[in-house]
Amino acid sequence: MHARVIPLVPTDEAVMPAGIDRAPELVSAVLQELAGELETLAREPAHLHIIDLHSLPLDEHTTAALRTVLGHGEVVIRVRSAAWTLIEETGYPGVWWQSQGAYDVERDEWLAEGRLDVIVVAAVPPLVGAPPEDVAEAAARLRAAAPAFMNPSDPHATGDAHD
Amino acid sequence: MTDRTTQGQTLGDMLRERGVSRRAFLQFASAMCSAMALPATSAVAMAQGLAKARRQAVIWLSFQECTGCTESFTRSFSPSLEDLIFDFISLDYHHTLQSVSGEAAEEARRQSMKDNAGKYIVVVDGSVPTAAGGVYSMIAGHTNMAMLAETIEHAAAVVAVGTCAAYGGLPEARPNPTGAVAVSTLVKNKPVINIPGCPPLPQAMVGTLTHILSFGKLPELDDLGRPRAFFGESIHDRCYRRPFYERGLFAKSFDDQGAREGWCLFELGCKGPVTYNACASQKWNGGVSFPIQSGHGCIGCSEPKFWDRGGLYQPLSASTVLPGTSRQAALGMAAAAGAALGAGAALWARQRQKAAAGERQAAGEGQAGKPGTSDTSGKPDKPDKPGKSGKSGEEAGTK
Repeated sequence: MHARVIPLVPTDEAVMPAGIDRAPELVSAVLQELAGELETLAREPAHLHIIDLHSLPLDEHTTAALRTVLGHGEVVIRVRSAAWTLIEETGYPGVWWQSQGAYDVERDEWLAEGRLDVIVVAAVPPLVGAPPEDVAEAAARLRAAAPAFMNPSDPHATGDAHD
Repeated sequence: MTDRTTQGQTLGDMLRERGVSRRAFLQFASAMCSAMALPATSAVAMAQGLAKARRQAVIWLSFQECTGCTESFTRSFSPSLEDLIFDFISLDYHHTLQSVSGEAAEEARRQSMKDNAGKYIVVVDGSVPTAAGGVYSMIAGHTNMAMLAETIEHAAAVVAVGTCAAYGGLPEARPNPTGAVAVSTLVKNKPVINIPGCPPLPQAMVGTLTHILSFGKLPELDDLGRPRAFFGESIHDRCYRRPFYERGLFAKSFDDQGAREGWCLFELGCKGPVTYNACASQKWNGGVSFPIQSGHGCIGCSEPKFWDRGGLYQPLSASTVLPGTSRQAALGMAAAAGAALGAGAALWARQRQKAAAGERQAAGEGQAGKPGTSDTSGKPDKPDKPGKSGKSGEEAGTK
């Protein structure tokens, strides 16, 4: 059995993706910023930095080119909350590409152009972690649910657990 | 009406009971921070502020209006997130959206005023007629003037949504037969936030309410009372057609080759250079497009007196063409000036806004007051001193 190896730096850095030439300085500036933030993250594991791509004068072609340059890493996370969020580790560990918006699950595509794309520099993006309040509430729910499973033959017992 | 059983609950607790996680707050806050040009990392603080806030009572008064502002408000930026704002606020009175009518509706308004005295927000859409004692618009036997005066008495703040409420709008256009005035003309003892537009961007309305809820204070306003986050840049600053303006490439008609190539619509009457709004960056209909992207110039609907400022298809430069100077030459000069002055302006403005927002976050968030209890002092954070703004309507030739 062969293990699938995902290269951490999948992009051939000698090849410039289409779209880079529209704003090469901006792409370079973003990469420089990411490099600096990664150096900080290496020293301080709790470090968090987020670049809102919406705030930069990047057109869709340049944004796509930047995405290509950053490549793809090992982790893909899908958050199904009020909005859909797809978080993908880039080829540079600690750098995450996070997209949020309305998603058509059946067609596997974003519904509108109003998608929010950000680049997160962190060990784990904040959206992934369970908020402490939700954790506390989950513990209470589990405490309440557990006794009902002592007698699984009682169909009413487990039903109460989901109230 | 405000659900009294939830009055003591935080938004986080209330929504948790309905299956809404705190991650949803963070998603919502991330979208809001992006829309308001706040540092992206402040989304965490905004989400925490929202989760700890109490549901905000809102009384929405509709006067001389067309209901377009409500239509816009109910169509927010993302189908999956739009409902959240209706969870964050208790819309206790709204002609179009409330189920009750007649005296029961008026009783709901008065009950909310009583229950939330000093804390509720009054949203007004539409101008207020003042001629002949205000009889041109009556609700439940009361003039709009009387209803406004009664309702704002114990309000924390007043939000004038739409150009009619913010500046008088269409009803105030010459000859203004009803004596229509802006809300701010009548409301002098409460903070007034103007969110102009015909209609205003839903993100601007939602973002402003969210800012108040999350940070317990009003957002930073410009000299026309508009939230800087949404009205700090002109349409022209962020227009994707701006490179054509700077190169002097203008469409001459709506169906010529230049129009098809996406050239600048300045000569076709686009008011983007003197209109401060976020249409070009936020866009409409879930981010699909905005008027200029759809091929029509900006009509300047979010600026004062836009109905009385010449034809919608008249170039801005038309009235300033000197005798003996051809219109074409004048436009060329305008384009050259744009090229000289405008290069990099959009990026610079954005960076400046980001930097200012960062400073505000660093200085203000720790003292943001108690979330969910609006700062009734009504002090916007860091109000601008007249003359210090680089983007005031006056400087932009909007007065």
